[in-house]
Amino acid sequence: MPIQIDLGNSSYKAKAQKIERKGPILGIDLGTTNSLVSAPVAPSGKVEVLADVHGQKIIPSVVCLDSTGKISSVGEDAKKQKGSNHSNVLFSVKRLMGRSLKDLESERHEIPYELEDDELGSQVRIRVSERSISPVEVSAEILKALKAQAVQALGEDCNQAIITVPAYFDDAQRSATKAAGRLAGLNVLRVINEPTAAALAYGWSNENPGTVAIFDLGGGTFDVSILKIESNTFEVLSTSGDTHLGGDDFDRAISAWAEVKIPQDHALRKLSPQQLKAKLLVEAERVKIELSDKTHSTFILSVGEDESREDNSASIELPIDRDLAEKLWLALMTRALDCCMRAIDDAKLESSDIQDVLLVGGSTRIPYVKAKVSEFFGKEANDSLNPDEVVSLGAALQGEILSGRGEDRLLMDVVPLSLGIETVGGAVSKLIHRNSTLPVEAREMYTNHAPEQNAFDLHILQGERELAKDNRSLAKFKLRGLTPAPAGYHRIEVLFRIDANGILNVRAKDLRSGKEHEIEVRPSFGISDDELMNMLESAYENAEEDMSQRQLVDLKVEAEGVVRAATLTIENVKEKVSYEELAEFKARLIDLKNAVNANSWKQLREALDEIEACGKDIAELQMNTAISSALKDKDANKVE
Amino acid sequence: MKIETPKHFSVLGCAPFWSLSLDDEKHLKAHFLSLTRKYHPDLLDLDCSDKTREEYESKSSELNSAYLKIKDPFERCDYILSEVERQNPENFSLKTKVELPLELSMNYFELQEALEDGSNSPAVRAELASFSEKLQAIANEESMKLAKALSRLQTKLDIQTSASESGSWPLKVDDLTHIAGIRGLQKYIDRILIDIRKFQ
Repeated sequence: MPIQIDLGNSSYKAKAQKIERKGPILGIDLGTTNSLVSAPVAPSGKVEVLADVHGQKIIPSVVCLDSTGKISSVGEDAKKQKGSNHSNVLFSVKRLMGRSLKDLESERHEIPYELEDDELGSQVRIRVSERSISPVEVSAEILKALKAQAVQALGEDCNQAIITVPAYFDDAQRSATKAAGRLAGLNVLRVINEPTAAALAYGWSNENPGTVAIFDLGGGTFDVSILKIESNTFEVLSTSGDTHLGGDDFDRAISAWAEVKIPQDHALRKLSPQQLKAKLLVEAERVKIELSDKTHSTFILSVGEDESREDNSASIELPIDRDLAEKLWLALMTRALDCCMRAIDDAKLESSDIQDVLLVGGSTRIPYVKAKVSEFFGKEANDSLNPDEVVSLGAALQGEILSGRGEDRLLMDVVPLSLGIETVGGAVSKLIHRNSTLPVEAREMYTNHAPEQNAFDLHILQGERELAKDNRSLAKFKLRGLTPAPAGYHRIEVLFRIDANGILNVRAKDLRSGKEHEIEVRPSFGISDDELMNMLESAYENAEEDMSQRQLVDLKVEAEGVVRAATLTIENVKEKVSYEELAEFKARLIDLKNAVNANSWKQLREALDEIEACGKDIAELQMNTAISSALKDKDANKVE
Repeated sequence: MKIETPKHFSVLGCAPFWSLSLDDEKHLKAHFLSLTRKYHPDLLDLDCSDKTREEYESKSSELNSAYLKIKDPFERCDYILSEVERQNPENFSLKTKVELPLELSMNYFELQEALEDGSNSPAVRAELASFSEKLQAIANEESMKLAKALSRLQTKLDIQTSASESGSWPLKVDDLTHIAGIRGLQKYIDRILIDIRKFQ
């Protein structure tokens, strides 16, 4: 989604929203499978995990909708519907946070519900009966349930929270998580990395633990972080991970093995693929858990819910032992250990420098995982912490630091992925390297390359790959409103800062113009600030329409400029290019004109992209004509 | 030649040069941590103004960026050199001629030819190993030279304390050219080592 910054006026000042702070700061572990909430509890003020009236601490991250698409239950009640009422039960939505259909391409077959892109193509929505719901909204429901549990347990209203995210979450995923918090009526003071939170809980009352590794294998994500904990300073040295590696994948490995064992003519094959998948996964999880205590288990699947039925043809039984399961899991474990290797390298350490290895996340209960981690680090992994609770406890402890009760403790975290900008030819110039301590900033200077150039584009990327297209696109900014001036006159300083949440802020400043105007934009992904506010105020559908309206207006302005420039170019180059090329270009121009009138953001974006691609050669021919600046002013704008 | 104290050094308020010893790195780190404790936004009152928060966040980012840039002694050295070049392009250039000892150059040339022909015989591989050892030895020698040159420079600057207080560093072009030459050779060797590692 291109964000436009007008250098002429500061219309895009970030909206600072201040909500009155109420109650203690909650520490929320918003997990793929399970969620928990912690807070300091009176009278001692000691941080504890909060339970419901039945003493139940865990809220499964599951939301169930009724046939009309309304939320019918959240947590344990919703989880009970899993397997039977499969299409209306939403689980593991954390995997979809801040993700578009394109991002999820490779794993789409694993997701047992229907997905579609939102209007902007930046965030998937889940199709449920007649309605579609965004992962942010689903997560907000889980957060509301956690908040309610906290209010009930603490006996007072509270609206401030620290929410944990996998360390390896990128900007879009973090922003989506923050948005979910706001949607649930929470003032999200910070999103904090899960392994770091665990380290806080571990080192809080531990004098000098030294250099430790946190191995955090949750339901859907994996992180490893190396920290140095010394004299009240928790310093993250490096972090690595995989946002698509977790207990779910261990289930899937078993489920995939079982699926091929079902004969083609078996009654189970008559189920719809999605029904079968849901059933396989539920049983796979049961088998996985059983294998943590026993060495042998049996994978049992039947067509109907009625277990007493003596119809063997409608069910299967597959024996499975630990050896077999470990073979199925080998590839997953290798991926996790590769990440560990990289984290140690990035910290410029050897595995023998690590003094303690902490196991975090429910999936570290698997004996095979523990054994492999111990083997890798050459020491018995530490499983003394409650792997489910430690993350939310750590988040609440960060709340203690922020509220001034941290007794001089300080946490210094790092950015998990490098931040860069697209340069000429689709390469990436890195501005901020991964594992830089937060907050961190980089400044770049830009100038105009032609007198008539009045705007330029910045394409910000996150990732480690060399080419722009292989990295995650964070935002496209258009800086516009430059006054005509000789080439090289303007001095636009762009400041990129990653805040303590790991979220990017960008500002542009025209150093040449007499008065300094500073523009601050907090790019949000999946959901914009405006959209969120509308969602809070009124019906969701309206908000989205407004949002796309604004986007559409902006895009129309851009398109009209391109139409003018392209018309001019056709005049200028018609003698110099082949008839076919010109005809093709003209055809694209007609498409674009039609799209301007069609009022569809998507159609317009496509038409613009097409004319841009098609006009590239022509524009190169006429480097100095208007089209080159109007179409592709993002090339070669950087001042060395 | 005088250069203005480069930004990252003025942010950290630190002496310009350090030897390559690790003790100094610890010293720098302790200094960085004490400044971080002073300016980290997490230690602010939650009800402080947006302006104060912004100031702390900005200061803290500057500190982190500065420390990141100069914590490694080699990167620190390169940063100083690039600042001198930026401030005094007419007096100082980083473009120095880099040469390997003649014997090694020949050696490298022959190896390249052999590798480009796709040769992977044990003889070539042994040659490759001995060649990288020799390179490594030179790199180590250069590191010693660099450490000496930097500590000499540091002593000179320390004597002129009044000068460093005025926000600028008095430096001699010859000293810097000598250091730039060492760094140039080290980087050249690093590149070759990375190159031939592909074949090993």
